[in-house]
Amino acid sequence: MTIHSATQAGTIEGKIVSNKGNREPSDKVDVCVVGSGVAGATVASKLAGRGYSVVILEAGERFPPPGQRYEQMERALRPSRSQSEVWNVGGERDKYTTSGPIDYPLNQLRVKGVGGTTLHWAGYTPRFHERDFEMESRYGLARDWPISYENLRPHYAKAESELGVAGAVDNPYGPPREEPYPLPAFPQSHTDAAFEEVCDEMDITLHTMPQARNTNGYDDRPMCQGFGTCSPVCPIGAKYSGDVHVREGEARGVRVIDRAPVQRLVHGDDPTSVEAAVYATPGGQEHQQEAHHFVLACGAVENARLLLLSESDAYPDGLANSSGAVGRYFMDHVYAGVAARVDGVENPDPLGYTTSISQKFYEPSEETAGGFTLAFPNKPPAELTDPALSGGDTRASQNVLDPLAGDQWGDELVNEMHEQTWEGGTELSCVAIIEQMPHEDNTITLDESTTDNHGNPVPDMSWGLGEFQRESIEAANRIQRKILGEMGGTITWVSGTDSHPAGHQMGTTRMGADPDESVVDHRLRTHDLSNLSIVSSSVFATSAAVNPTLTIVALALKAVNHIAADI
Amino acid sequence: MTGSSDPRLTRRDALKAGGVGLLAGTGLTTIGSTLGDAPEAVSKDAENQDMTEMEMKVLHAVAEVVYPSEVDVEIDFIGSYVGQLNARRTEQMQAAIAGLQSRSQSAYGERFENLPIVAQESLLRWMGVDRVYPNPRGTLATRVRYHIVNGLLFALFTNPLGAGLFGIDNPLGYPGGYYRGQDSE
Repeated sequence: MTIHSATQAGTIEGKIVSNKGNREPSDKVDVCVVGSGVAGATVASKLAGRGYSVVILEAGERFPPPGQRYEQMERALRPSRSQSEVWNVGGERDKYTTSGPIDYPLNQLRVKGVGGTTLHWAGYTPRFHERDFEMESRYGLARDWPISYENLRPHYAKAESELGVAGAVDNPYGPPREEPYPLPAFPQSHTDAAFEEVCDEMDITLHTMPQARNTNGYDDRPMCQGFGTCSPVCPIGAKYSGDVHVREGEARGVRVIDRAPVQRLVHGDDPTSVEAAVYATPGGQEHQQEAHHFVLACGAVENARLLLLSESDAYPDGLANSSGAVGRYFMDHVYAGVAARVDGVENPDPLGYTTSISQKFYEPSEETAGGFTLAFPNKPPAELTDPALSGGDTRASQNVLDPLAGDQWGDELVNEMHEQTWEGGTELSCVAIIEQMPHEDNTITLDESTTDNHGNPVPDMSWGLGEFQRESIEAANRIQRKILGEMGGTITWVSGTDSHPAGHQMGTTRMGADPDESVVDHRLRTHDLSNLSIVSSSVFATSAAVNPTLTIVALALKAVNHIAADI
Repeated sequence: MTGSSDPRLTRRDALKAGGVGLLAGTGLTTIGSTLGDAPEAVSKDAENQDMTEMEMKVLHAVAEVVYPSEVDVEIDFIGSYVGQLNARRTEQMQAAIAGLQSRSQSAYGERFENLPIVAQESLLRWMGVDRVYPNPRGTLATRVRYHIVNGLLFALFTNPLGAGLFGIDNPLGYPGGYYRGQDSE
C-alpha cells in the first residue's frame, strides 16, 4: 500500500475572496448540495433559479476569480512548483492510499475548491455516443444504462449552451445532434493539417474537438487569448470552469459554505430519507445542515467515500449501499500515445489544447477491441520557463551540481538553453482516449488504518487495466505508429500499457434499473433513499471513449427536473 | 474541416476583442507595452501595494545582470509583470528586495541599484543566489532567487522579448492570441 499526502500545498498565497466568517448552517433548506464542482454548481444554480433555497457545502477554498489567476498560472509554469500546488491540492486533507496494480495519482487529477476539478480541466466536451448507453445490448459488455442517448439528447444541447461549447458539426462518426454549437470552432492548427493529409489517405476523417473554451466572448467571459496554460489554469476565465455556475447560483441566492468538508450524511428513524449533512469547519466545529433533498456531487472518489463513511445500523455497508455497488466499478480512461520526430512540419502552434480528433475507431471491433477517440495534440514549443529558471538545466540530475558550480544567467543561460533545449525536427504526437470496462475489483474503499485531518479513514484506490483496455491500447498504438510512420516520422515514444490515467474518475455509484446491482436509478436518485440524488460521473455505468464532463452536466440538468418534481 | 469556425479570426482580432472584453468583464486593465504589439493584461488587486521607485530600480538592476545582453529591457516591462502579482506576492518580493539592499549596504556601503553591474552580480553570487533552490518562503538567498531573479526570468521568457531568442513569438503564459495562422494577412 502506498500512502499519499506529502505534497501539501502550503499556505494559500492567493487572496481568499470571501469566507464571510459564518459557517453556521442555514435553517432547513430545500436542497443541500455537497460539492461545488460543475455538477453541484449547475444543479444548485438551476434549482435556485426555480425558486428553491439551496446551500452548497464545499470542502475546499475559494480561489481568486478569473482575471486574477496569474499566480496560479505562474505556479504552473515555474519548475520549482508542483502541479498540485496550483490549486492547493494535497496534504492531510487530501490524503489517500493506493493498493491496486497502478499507483493512481489522484491529487494530480482533481481539485478541491469552489469550482472543483473543472478549474484545472482541459475543457473538452464531446457527447457520448448512442452505443455508450447500450454496451450490454449491443456487444454483451458491461451493463446498459437505464437511459438512452435520446433521453439525454435535449440535456446535451442545453449543457453545451451552459458551458459555451465551441465546435463545428463536422463529425461523420458522431451521434445525431439537433443544432450548431453555441460558439464557432477553433481553427485547424498547422499540425492538424499535416495529420489530415495522411489520415485522409488512411480513410480516417479528422473533425473538430468540441470544447468549452471561448472563440468569442460568451456569457460575460472573454475570448481565449492563447496563454496556452488551459490545463491547469486559464488565468482569464476564457475556459469554462464550475465557478461560473457558482457565481450564477449565488446571484440567485445559493449559499456556498467553503472549507466545510462533509463528514457524513445521517438519516433519522426513517432510513429511507437523509436528515442532515454533518460538516466540519476550519475552527474544528461540526454542524448539521438539514434539507428536504440532498445532492451528492463530489466526484467518483469522494462520493463513494462519503457514502461509506455514512454507515449506520440500517446501512452497515455504507449509506445507499444495499446493492454493495458503492465504490465498485471505478473506471478511468487512459491516454495511449505515440510520438515521433517529423521533419518538414512547422512547429506546432502553442495553443495548449487539441483542435482536431477522429472518432473513426469509436465502435468496438475485432480490430480495435474497445473503442477509442484519436486526438492530435498541439504540443507547444519547449516550455522555456523550465530551463530558464533552472540556469539552463533541462534534467533534474543537472541540478545536483548547482550548489557547487552555480546556475547560469544572462548570455551564458541563453547559450546553455540553445545547446540543451533544441533538437532538429518537430516532435508530433497522436494520442487516444481509451475506454475502460467496469471491473468489480477496481474499487474505492475506506482505508481504516490511515486517516485525514478530521480523523476519517481515507479513500484507498485499487485500480488497474483489464485485458480489454490493454488490447485497445495496443490497437491504438498500432494505428498511431502507422499514421506517424506515413508522415515520415522517427518514433520517439510509445505509451504501451504504461499509459497514463486521464483523470476521468467514473463509476463508483453506478446508475441502473436493478437495485441489486446499482446505486442510483434513471432519475439519478438512490434506490435506497428517496431524498438523495447523485450527480457526477460516479453514476456512469460505462466509461465511453471520450471526456466525461458534458455528460456530467447533461445528467445534472436532467436531475434538476427530477429533484424539482420530488421536493 | 473547421466547419462554422470564423476564418477571419486572427491573433490581432483575438487581442482586440478579448482585450476589450476583459476590460469590461473582469476588472483587468491594459497598459501599454513597449515590447511588442500585444497589450499586457494586468490584474489590479485593490490591496496590492505599488512598488516604490527604489524597488523598481533594484529589479531593473537585477534584470540587467540576469537577462541576456541582446535584451534591452525597460522598467515598464518589469512593471507589467510586478503589477499582476497578488498582494502577498508583492509583499514577499518587497521583503526580498529589502534583504538584498541590506546585504548590499553591508558589503559595499552602497545601495544595490547604485553598484556597478560587476559588483551587483558578484553580490548575488556571493549570497549564493545562483546556487540555491528557489523557495518563496525560505532563506534570503532562496527568496531572492524565487521572487526576484526567477520572477524576472519568468517575465522575460513568457514574453516574445525573451522567447523570440528561440524563435517563439507566442510563448506559454503570454496572451498572444489563440490563433496565429493568418497573421500575415
